[in-house]
Amino acid sequence: MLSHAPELALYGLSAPHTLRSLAQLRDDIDRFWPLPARARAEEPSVQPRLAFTDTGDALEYSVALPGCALEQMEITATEDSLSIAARRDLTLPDGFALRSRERRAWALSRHIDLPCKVSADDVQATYAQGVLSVRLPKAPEAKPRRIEVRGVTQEVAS
Amino acid sequence: MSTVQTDVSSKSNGKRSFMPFSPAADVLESAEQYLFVLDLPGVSKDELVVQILDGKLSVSTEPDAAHPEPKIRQRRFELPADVDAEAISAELENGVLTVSLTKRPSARPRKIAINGS
Repeated sequence: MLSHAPELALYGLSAPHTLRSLAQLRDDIDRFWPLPARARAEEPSVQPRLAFTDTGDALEYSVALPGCALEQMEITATEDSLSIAARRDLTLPDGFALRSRERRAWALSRHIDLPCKVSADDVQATYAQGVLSVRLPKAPEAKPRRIEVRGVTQEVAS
Repeated sequence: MSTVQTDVSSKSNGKRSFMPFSPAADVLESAEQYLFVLDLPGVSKDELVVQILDGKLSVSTEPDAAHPEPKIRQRRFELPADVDAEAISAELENGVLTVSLTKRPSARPRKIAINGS
């Protein structure tokens, strides 16, 4: 869950009064707004985009998550679903102040219903050059099989 | 085996659909250094070009056979006046580029001792 006020404090800016009021409002909302709905509402406006490829033997998902620590990622798979949770916090190194900022802290949470059954035990996830790739080998029954076409000899009526 | 390409989200041009892009950048400053921090997911060290060009810091990628179009849009940053253009280093880790520029010693803030009587 993204919390904006502590982030501002992190960058050495003081939270203005209006932000404190907003935090108060959010606390009030928290008391009667159910959690799943709130999580959706707090998703960052720019969601990291997920790319999908079906290689025939496996399903592959990849998503650009630059600067994400491995312990900030959680990937779980069942035979018919994949969940990816990842977050990035932007922390300033000691002694540094921010001159300008375009990069964002974000929290990603995606649940995907897979288009076919996979072998959940053989799912592999790799993180290289800031890109997370998840490869899910298809379950044997979901793999494409080549079907032999047999010719049928027609008996010629004499 | 033919490869089916679709995207879970609404817009996509293909498998590596997050490129080309204009990389987001942060600029940080300390007493001795400036840091230019850029998000460059999927960009390898070999194709990345970081240089000082016409007094500006330039970050771009070199097109190759696999990517005739540059992967990223070139970013150029005005160099602060107190930078030592010779003392520059760059590091690429987990898709994040950090370019360190050192301030000229004379430009660093110095504490002046006050001699009292």
